[in-house]
Amino acid sequence: MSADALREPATILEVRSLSKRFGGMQAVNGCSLRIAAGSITGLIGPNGAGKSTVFTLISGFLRPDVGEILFDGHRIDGLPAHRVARLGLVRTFQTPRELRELSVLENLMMVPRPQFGESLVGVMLLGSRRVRREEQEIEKRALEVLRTVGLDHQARRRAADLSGGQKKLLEIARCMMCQPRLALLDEPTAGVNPSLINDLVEMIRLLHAGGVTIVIIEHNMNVVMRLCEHVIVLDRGEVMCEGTPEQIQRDERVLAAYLGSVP
Amino acid sequence: MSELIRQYLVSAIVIASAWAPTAAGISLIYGVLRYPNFALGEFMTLGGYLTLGLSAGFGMPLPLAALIAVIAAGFVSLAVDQTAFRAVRRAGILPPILLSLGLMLILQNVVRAFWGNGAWQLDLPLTRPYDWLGFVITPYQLMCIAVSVLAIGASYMVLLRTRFGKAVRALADNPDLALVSGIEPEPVYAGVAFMAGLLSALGGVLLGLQSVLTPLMGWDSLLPAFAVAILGGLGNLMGAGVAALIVALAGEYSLLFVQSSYKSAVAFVVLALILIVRPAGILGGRS
Amino acid sequence: MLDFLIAIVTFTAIYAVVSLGLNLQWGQAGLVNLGQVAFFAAGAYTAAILARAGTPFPLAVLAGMVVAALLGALVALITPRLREDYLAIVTLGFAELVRLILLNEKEIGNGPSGINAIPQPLHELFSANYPLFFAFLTVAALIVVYLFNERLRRAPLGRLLRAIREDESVVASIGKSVLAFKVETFSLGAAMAGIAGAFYAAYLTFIAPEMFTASVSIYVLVAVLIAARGSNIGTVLGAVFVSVLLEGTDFIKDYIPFGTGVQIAAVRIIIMGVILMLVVLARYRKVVEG
Repeated sequence: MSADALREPATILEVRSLSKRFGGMQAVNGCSLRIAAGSITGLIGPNGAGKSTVFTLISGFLRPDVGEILFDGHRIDGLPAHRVARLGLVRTFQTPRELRELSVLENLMMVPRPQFGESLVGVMLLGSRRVRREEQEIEKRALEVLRTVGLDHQARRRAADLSGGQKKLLEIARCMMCQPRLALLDEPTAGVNPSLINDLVEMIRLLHAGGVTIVIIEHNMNVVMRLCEHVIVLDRGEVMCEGTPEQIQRDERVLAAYLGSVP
Repeated sequence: MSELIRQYLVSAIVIASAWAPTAAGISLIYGVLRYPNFALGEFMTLGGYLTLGLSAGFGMPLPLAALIAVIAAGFVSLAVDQTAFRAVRRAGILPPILLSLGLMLILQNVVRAFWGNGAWQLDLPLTRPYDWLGFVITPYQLMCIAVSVLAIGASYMVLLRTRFGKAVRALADNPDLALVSGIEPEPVYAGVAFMAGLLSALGGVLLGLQSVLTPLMGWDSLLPAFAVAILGGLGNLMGAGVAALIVALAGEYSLLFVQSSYKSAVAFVVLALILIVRPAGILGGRS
Repeated sequence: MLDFLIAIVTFTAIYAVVSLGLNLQWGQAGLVNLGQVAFFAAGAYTAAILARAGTPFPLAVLAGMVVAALLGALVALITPRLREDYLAIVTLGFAELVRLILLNEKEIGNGPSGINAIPQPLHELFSANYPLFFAFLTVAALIVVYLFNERLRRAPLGRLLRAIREDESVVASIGKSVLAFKVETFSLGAAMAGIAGAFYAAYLTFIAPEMFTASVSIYVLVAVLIAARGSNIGTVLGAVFVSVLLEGTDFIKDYIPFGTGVQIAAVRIIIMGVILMLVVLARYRKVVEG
């Protein structure tokens, strides 16, 4: 095992012939891929290629019809989403899913796990040192993360009142707060203005620098070139090709697939 | 024993004839306006009692009284839809559910205020039941079955053949597509509300013909009618007809095992199983 | 007049406890429950049967609470994936099922005739002022439940329940079991209804299935709906309003020359229905326009 690890980087995630059908549409069709531990991998492909569905299947929000998913060598297909997340595999959502009526700070403070204050005994002992200290520690960490993404001045605002770009930042912040081992980022820069894209790229680098393996769905090739060391191209629910960003950019099949999808 | 089983079959078909139109009303509202309307049981009660009032109070012949009663109930449903339900059209599924609960309290107690808590009977001349191969059935029960089949059939034809029906089916199948293709939804919603009120009230009249009127008759039929509507597939009137038979048979034959007052509990268990196992309905429901 | 006031206070406190249970489930965690009366009945019957068998009142209340909580956990466990509308149908039907069981299974509580001569706690000590004592006891229970709910709302648990109400998948995506919290919350809310049921049985000394119809579920729904979303004090005020409308207008019939008892009762419920519809319109029309 350790000898293998020396020869090539360890695989943190392996997907074997994954398939998922919605009614008449085969969204994912025998998709297989490997993600190296510590990498930033881009997952690209034309609209409707099944990228988001693959994320949804890996993170346990949907069950695959066929296929195996191994995280760190353990089968996770069939596990409910929260069990997958507990293993350290955390996804973000393409459309930010801020908890609208909670403050920005609360959006992060509800993340750490387990919290004594979330148990019934914790409710009874609300004023106790144990609950107070736990809350202080969580708040401190949440504020740190907010500072990292530049939302610390918005901490007390209602999350619903944030701008679209700020909600994208909050989505990343929640992922940071989770301290995952593998993060699946679903279009973190989509619909964001160019100056904020630079910030988001920096934050993803920061997340990576903290030891997190990252898989990112991204339409902006510029972002892919800047971040990713490896790119996987999906088309019609299966892997069409993969390689370094430079290889992918030169690949004619990729070009054809993208052009084919332009109406 | 076999005679008992035969009689259960007759009872099931007869009670199904009352549930089917009400379930069709529930199914239409649920399928097109997309909320479960808990007040539709009370439209049964309203239909039954209005028929009673018009025939006993004003001396109208029963068929005329029933006709006026169901049309009046249709207009009540239409009026409530336009004044209350229309205001929360795009506020999600919970507000109309809550409104229908309020309406349920109102209708049931309006009937109670006028007619009291006791049971009433529609004034029907005595007839001799037919005995056909051991199946005993009264002329009124036969009439209930005929009227029910006609009503479901006519409603089905309305949905199949008319422009209104086409719009109803389009909105039930795929509202976004229907709206994009230029269907004006509000008149369709109004028509559906009218039809649902009318059909439910008709179910109440038929129930009144086969037993007695009580303020709780609608409430007692609510769970079976919902089971029928969901089993038949929302927006599917023929499905409602078939499902009414299935639920009624399950209820009647359960009498072999449990007491008669559990009949609507049997319907609920059927309903809960359908929802938990197959949320899309069974007979050609949409997903 | 004083007796009447004491009766109103007792009823209000009982309704308020049931409503606070629903507020925890629906107002805080967003769990639809149209069958709160089932847990109220479960508490009432459990406590009544035990009290008649000689169990001390605190233990009977505890047992009523536990049975209601278990029943609540059961409902939450079999319905976790149901959409809001299906949950509405299933909870409404579940309560009707419980009522039918109480009506039919005569060995539980004598069927339609119900349970009578339910012993009241410490009755011999307060022979003259007993209603006043019991009113204090009920209000004390209300205060305990209220303080618990307030604490929960301000605790990290309250924050998490609001998160579940907002978006379940976010809570799942960070590794927390939505199901576990839903079952816990639903069963806590049911437990509160169970406590109230135990008090109700001891207060009236008589219970029967006809007291536990769907209308009760709808009344507590009105109390919670009148309150701003999730507000506990608002829910208590809502319960005051509901119980004054239901029980407090009882004396009117002595002053109105027309109308039978049935008619006056019917008019009261009609008013309740109208208020429910108006509150829904007032609350949700804004959502559409805004």
